[in-house]
Amino acid sequence: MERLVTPDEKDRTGEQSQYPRYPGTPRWIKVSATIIAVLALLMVMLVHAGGGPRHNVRPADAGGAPSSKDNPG
Amino acid sequence: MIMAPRLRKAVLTAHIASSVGLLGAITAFLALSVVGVASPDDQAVRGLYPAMAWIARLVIVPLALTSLLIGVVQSLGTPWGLFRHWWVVAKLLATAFATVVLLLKMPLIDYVARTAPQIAFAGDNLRAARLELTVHAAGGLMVLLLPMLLSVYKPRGLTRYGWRKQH
Repeated sequence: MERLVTPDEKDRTGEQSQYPRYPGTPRWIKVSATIIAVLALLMVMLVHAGGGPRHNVRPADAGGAPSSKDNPG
Repeated sequence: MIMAPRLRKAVLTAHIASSVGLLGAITAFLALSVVGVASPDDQAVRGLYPAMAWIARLVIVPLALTSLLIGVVQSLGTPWGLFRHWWVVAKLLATAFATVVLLLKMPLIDYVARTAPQIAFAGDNLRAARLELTVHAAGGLMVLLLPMLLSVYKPRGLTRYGWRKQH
């Protein structure tokens, strides 16, 4: 029985495909993905450099020390 | 399954209403959080954070989930599909990301709301947490403006899956 060949496989094997070739990922997606990756990297570096956000409450002002269960950060 | 035109319009209306409502609610949350950081009025600030927590719990979270869910249903019920066009995929990712971050920040919102009425704000009490809420509200607003822009401009570009489906 003849195996079905996908358009991708035809492209890879150089076989003439009856389908037009996929034009690739649009440029706006590549640019956006790069910007997001850079921003995410910056964010991670910032959080690590600053030791992460601290939710400071002076125990005296809060009527006692807040428990670690209360503080999500 | 493609939806009938009348149903499609009803779903689209619900999607626009929930998305625009979400943007408005986050803008209100951001405005209150800025007042919470900047206002010298301790009494007003103490009352602010519990109100913000109610807005987040009763308005922002339900609208975010509704917008996400209706968006998925709508895309699957129209020829646009969910994974055929890059702009639909980008919209889905932005909304899902904003919703996940919102849900992850709910404990912080609740914590500040619980703690704020008990403390004096003169000084730096809860400053980092309050600033974090402001930054996240501003970030969330920026991220959620992206789906709106994508919906209006619909930048071209089929995914590989969309290309296969079309040809």
